[in-house]
Amino acid sequence: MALSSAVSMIRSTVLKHLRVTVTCNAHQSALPTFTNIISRGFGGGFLDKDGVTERVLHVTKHFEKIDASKVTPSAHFEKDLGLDSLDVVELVMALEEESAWKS
Amino acid sequence: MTDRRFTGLQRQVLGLYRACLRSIRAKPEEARPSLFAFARSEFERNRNISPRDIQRIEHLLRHGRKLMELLKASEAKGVIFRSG
Repeated sequence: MALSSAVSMIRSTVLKHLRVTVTCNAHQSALPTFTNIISRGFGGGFLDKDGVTERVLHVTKHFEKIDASKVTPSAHFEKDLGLDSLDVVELVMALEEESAWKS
Repeated sequence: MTDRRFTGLQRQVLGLYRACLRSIRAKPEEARPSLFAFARSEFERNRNISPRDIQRIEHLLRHGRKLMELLKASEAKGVIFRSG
């Protein structure tokens, strides 16, 4: 699998998921969380769940508006990390850039 | 797909913010910090408008889209922005 396909896999997973988490998810809280992002499942290929988890956590911890010590895979963007909806848009953009996805 | 958290208008606002951030990414590097700050402050300024004030929100959305189109034009290299 080429790097670009791996990257677009991250991108579509992260993008779809961070947008979709504001919708109803029968099994989990409707609030955006990392668990929602990660639980989509990444299938086979070079990307494994831990690798993507680590990258998402890394970008999030370095996000200037976030207290890195509060970042865990189950953290709620709003309740635990104090982000508002504009911040979440910014964070998604940072994750896209991390994936080196070019618009 | 039902969306319990945001109204249609809120989603348009967030979509506009995202579109603004994307177009700022295409701008020269040195211009980006002030452009990001400007975009964020414009949205912040209107944060507390009542969600029921639909006319005003739609007016602001139109205004924001026009402003974004202006800034996207290649001649526009940035804004002079002083916060506070």
